[in-house]
Amino acid sequence: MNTLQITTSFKKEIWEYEKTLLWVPAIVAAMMLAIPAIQFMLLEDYQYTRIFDQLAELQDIQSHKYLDQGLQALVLGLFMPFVLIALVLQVQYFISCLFDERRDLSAYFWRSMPVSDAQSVIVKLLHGALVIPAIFMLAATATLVFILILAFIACIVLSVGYDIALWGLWGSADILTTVAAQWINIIPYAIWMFPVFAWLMLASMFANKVPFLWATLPVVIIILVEAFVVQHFSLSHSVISQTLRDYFNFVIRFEPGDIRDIQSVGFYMTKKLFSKVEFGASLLGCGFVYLAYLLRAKRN
Amino acid sequence: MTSLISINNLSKSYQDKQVLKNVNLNIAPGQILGLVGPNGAGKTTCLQALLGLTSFEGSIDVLGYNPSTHRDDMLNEVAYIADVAVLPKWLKVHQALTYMQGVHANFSRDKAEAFLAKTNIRLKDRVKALSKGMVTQLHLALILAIDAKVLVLDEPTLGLDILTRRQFYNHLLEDFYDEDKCIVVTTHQIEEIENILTDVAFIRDGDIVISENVDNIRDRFKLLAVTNDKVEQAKKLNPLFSNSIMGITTLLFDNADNSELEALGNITTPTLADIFVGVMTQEQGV
Repeated sequence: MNTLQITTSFKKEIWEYEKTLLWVPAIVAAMMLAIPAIQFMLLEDYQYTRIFDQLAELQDIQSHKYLDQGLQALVLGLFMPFVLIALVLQVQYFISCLFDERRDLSAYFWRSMPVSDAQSVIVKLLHGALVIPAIFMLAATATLVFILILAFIACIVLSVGYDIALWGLWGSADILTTVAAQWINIIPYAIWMFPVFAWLMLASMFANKVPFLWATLPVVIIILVEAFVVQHFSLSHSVISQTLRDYFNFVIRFEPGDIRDIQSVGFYMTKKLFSKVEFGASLLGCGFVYLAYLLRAKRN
Repeated sequence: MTSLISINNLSKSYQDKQVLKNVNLNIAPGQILGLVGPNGAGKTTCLQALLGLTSFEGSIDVLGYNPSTHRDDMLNEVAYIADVAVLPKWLKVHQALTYMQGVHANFSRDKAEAFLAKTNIRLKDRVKALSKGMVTQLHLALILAIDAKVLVLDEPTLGLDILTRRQFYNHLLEDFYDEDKCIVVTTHQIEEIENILTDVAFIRDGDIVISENVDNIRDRFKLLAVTNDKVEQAKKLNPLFSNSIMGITTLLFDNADNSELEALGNITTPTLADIFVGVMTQEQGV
């Protein structure tokens, strides 16, 4: 395996979308910082007083367990917009990655290099599935670090100026584990979404025009035909639609019992994400990727 | 001498249309082969088969590799410029160099930078900011910096002005060519490259009509200029092609007896363009 060739292929993917991959996470990060800052500045005096009172009460709390879970949920909340916007870019990337190079004819150039089609397709798959969310995770982590620095400064100000000591919270807040869990979640998330990514790549490779239509229309047609068949023959339920609903249904319900048992909100998500992965769907994804590879290798 | 490229009975069909019919070509080190034919003759398909970019029937051997099964290994020693501007618009020059350095074992970044230093192209430029000629220069810089044994050029100067076209071929000879390498080039502007070609193959409707050394071809074909009173007599010698301008008729002959021609008028050596037009016209039965 030629490592330099593979890393260069990843670099090429980043160069192609470098503006998007730089500016979009930066804008999301700026908004995640600016919106709470503006909200804080617009508070009324009595609201400031209430916050100070609540902070003063915090230092007297004996058990930090629920507080820690709250902090973990906050970290999760911070990462969520980054993950969702990364998903939009991932979809856009997979739809265009194999289509654009044919549209601008650069496929001739890339394919005149000693890089195999299999390697090109796999690099694109890994770039979209792992590198793009990782870049957004990096931006989210940087935002969190910035917030923690601000929180640290706030603690110093509260401690020195207002005699409110919140240092105990720092000891109990398991922020590192929560952040680590978010990073680890990229893997089960990528495996869960792999069939979708693979399908979009196939549409991107197959389409001569409007790959978005090729990605969505067959699915819509299958669902409509199935709905018609189910209604016409008075069947009890639709298999394909239900399977799709079940596969993509991702709701986290924290039952009261769960809250007590959950040590880490982040790893709870990891467990949930892994539970969504299905062998059959992954196999289907492999089939889509193989077809995309075949089309790239054999198409004139 | 061992061939660098050996094509045997190459055929290719798109649905019902056969675009290549039993093409046979052998290209040895030191040869610069011009593959010349009208639009749709099968030139690009032939080159694409050579590079493993399309499926085909028959057999192709490039430097010992089968392009269908060992395309990636083969492309370490084969460089290729397609007939269209294929460098992506978003790519920066320094990124192109880094990419080539990373993926191509035989690429010399120093050589490419030295070539680019002679042009107006800056390393920070994006391809979309470059003129068509500059994009070709950049592509040429990338390709010439590869230590390749075989260079395949498909209409490389299409759409370029004459100065850039001349520069392109000068660089090709100065910076790439040597006796151990071979070049296969397709072009419409045969008159511009006939001085650099060692061999030429005319292709029409997927058939190789003529494939010969340029010196042999020049010995074989003769161009006869006659006055109007000797035209009928000359036409009895079965010319491939005739053309009358301002009272003088020129006729192209293949393997004709020089003494017979000399008696009728002035004999000159035709250009490859003349021979191409003559051969193609005869093949079409015009």
